[in-house]
Amino acid sequence: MFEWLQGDPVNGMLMTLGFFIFLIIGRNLKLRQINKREKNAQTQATDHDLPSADAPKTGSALHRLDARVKFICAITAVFGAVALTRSEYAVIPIIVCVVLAVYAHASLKGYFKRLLYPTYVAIVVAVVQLFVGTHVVATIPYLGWNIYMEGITFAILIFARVLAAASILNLLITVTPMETLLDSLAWFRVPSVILDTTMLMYRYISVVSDERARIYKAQQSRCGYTKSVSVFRKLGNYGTVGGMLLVKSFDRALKVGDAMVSRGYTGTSSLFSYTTKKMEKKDIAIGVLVVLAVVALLLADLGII
Amino acid sequence: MKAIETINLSHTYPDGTKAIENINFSVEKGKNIAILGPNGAGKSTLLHHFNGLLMPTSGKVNVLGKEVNKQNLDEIRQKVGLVFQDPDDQLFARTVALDVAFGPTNLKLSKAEIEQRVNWALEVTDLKGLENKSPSNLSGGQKRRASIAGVLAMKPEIIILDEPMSNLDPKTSSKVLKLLMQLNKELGLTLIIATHDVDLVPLFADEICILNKGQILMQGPPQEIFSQADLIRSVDLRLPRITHLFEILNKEDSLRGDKQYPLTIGEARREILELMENKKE
Repeated sequence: MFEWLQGDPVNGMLMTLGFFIFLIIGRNLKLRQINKREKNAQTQATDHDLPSADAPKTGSALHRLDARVKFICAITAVFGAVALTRSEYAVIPIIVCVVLAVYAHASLKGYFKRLLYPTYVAIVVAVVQLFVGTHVVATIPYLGWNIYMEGITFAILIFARVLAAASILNLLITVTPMETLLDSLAWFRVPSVILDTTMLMYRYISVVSDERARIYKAQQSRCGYTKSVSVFRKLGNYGTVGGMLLVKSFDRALKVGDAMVSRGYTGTSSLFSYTTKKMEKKDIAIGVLVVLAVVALLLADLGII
Repeated sequence: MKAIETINLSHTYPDGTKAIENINFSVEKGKNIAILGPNGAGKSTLLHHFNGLLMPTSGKVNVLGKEVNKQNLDEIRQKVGLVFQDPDDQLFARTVALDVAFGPTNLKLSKAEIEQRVNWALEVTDLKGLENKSPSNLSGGQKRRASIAGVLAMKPEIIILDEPMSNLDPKTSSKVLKLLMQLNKELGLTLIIATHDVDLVPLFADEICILNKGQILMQGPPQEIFSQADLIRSVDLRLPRITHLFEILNKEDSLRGDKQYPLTIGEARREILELMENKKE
């Protein structure tokens, strides 16, 4: 049943893409938290003093590094991580990312919190691997499911790869504002329709998140999640939240479309403009070093060096 | 000259709902008009026709003397700006400045002209300094002003606002109202404002149009409209609070004669002072 997950390494890459989405959501939730905290602290602030979650944190060299270089480094490192064949080597990028996050003065609490979402998925994927193989090492009582030696080894490897890839992407979005990232993607000639859609998704995550909170609170206020409510009923209520969000998203999409059309949008040109600056030699050198380091790690993993 | 005129305008949605029927509405250029009506009266449907977002099922809409049709929509949308009820529907760009620039960019203006318009619109709406903020980090009032700036940057002659004061605190609401009055006075813009807020209407409206069940019940100056209290109440609306007070004083306490009731605090103050003076004499 789960054989499709054994395909290697493309499955890891696909999982990583999924994690990227989780990471963006996680990052946004974190920014919202920071924003709320700052807003509470500045209740007397004037309009111009309002905090901006989007203001780049320019404190470290990692933040200042060209976003295109960071993107190339991250993608190379992700591909490298999912191609590793030994789990002990996959731990290296995880540790390096934590060190770099500390160097960039990122909130470690936030960093690990964002890693929680992909970790949940990594655990599910790893657990599934346990039941695939030929050499039985144990059997789960009552269920009669066999756990295999190859499965355990592969589960650890998959878990480490996924966590490594997620750590790399986590670090990337920690030190790069979303707008800058999209600007760099425009430089890579990613079609504007993809960038526009991503930008709109990013803009509306917070709006949808607010709507989710409102619907959830409305359910809570009418005892939707109290102890007396059964688990199935609660799951049903969660489902209703999801369904309502879907309907509201369609509704909002229509309104946003109307708002665009009312200001002369015809769909023939790009929604947003993306700016790029000249890449500095120092940044290019750093990028080359990182790529070489990834190649070295891969060669070491294969036992070539 | 008529800024907007509708002739026997009707609109039926695909599900068969008749939202508006035989609407004959007009507003003179440079005037402020409030469209009042209960929920589901057809206010938003009517407004969306003025910008060409909806096309009539029957009848026609004229904007500055030109009939709205599919061929001249670009021109119409430049002349008639529409500010949506929920600013989050309208502010979709990553920064305030980019959102304000969205309309002018669609008009294919030069970079310098776009920049000049964006700066001007931000200045008029008092949003200077917030141009690089993400719309999601703005307060309710700032979002509303940013929505207005986005429309202003297209240099329209008519601005339509759907419930511009909804979900705003009194101070912010008053600030937005002041901005709208300023736009009308200084730039000569025609404002068409759909609202429920009957207390604010006498402050800005030269005319009021009452819409109910998809039809115009009455249209005229505020004094004339609010003098028909029974009719106003029959469509689930009410008189402004200050007018209601004077109505009670008249009916219950026979305090005044058959004069028209004041609609604003300023008018009420003058009348009270007058009554006090008369009492002294």
